[in-house]
Amino acid sequence: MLNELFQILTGVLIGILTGLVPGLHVNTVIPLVAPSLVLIGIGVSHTFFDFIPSLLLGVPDESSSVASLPGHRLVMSGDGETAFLLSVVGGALSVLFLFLFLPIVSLIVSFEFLVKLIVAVSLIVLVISSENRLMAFFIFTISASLSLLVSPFDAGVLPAYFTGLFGVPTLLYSFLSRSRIPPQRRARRIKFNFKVPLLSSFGGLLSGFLPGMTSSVSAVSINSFTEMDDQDKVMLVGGINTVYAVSSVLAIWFIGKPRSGLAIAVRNLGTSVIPALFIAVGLSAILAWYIGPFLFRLLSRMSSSILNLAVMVFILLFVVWLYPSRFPVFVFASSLGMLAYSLGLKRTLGLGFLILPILTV
Amino acid sequence: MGEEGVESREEAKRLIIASSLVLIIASSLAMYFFQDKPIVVFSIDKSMIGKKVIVIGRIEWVKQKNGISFGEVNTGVSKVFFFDPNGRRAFNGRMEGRVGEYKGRVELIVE
Repeated sequence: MLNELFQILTGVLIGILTGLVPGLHVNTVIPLVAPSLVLIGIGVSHTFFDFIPSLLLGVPDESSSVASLPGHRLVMSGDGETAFLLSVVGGALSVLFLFLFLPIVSLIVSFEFLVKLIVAVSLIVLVISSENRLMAFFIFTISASLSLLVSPFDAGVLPAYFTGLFGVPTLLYSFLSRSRIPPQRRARRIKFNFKVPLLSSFGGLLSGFLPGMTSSVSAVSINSFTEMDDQDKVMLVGGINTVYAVSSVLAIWFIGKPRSGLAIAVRNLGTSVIPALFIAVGLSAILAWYIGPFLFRLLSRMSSSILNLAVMVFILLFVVWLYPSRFPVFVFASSLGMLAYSLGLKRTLGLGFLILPILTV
Repeated sequence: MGEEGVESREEAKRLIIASSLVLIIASSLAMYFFQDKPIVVFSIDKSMIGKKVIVIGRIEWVKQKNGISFGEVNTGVSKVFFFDPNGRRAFNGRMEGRVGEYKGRVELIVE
């Protein structure tokens, strides 16, 4: 028993380090570690701490704030620490609420057409709510048509596509505009509504159980149907990411299929994996609450221009090295992301690449 | 339900500590009471995949190739082949005893 707890704690501590490395996906670390509960700790803790680099990297300047992400807008107003703590609360509470939704989501998954309908409606809302509807439709169609040439579910395609669509435009524009991270305030007031972790619990479970329903698609779908401010959105994403990590492993027992690289790696470790997931969430949440703000302030003082450039080079080498055959996908997604960014449109429109196959399969 | 929430950092801190402790304590208790206890078996079949088992019998042979151990235990009922008792594939695997010994013991996770 103590051996198991020690393994989880070790994993959680490693996950802090991997989470802080910008652009490092947990699937890259998994093959380096022997199948054990250490992996559970890494997989869960990573989802709490990778929020710090995602908040600090690619912060735009004032002029391009319309196209920026909610977390970046909070960092620009000096509330990055609040954003991080909200994501931590979102992660812990959403996992706690997960038990409420497990039976209903297990049932919904068996009615796949219902989920497809929700995704389709949320997409229409996403396009209609854009200021430049014509260009929004164009970006969505272009991205969707790529799925006719390349399957998003082939190995290495999604990491290359997401890195290009979301990573490159923010980093590049941020570097070119020489934007600086403004001084960050201590988070004195954390305000949220329990509705948000409830929604992220539901969305994270759908992502974990349904093939192709990524965390981003879940977040976009929920956002389309509910009124949320930036703080709510950050909390929602934090919650969905953690619940996804947990439920993609739980899927082994609830729907009989592993739904992530982590789940595949631990599927032969027996049922001790289930409590280990929740222990890892508890440990990660407490550590993130106490040491996260310190790490956030430390990283926020680093020169963002140099950091953005370094991460861009790292990402480029990473894609070329790990997925050389996916480089054209990476270039395509980067161009699409930059087009959306320069037009002040949401880059989530580029998720058409992933959503079309979900709707048509 | 929808309109209830938290207003201050202190309140959020108490909530996160309480919810984390609930997760840690309840899951630790669950892990303790429902942990996979190894069962002694005389043969291995598909229904045991993922389970921890102990095979007791005569260790017929053990070989090593490229750092991976292979072996065979004769339980009297069947011959159980195993591999890599101390390595990655059979996590927690442990072999006690020597080749030729009648009460050799191998603890494995069935794959």
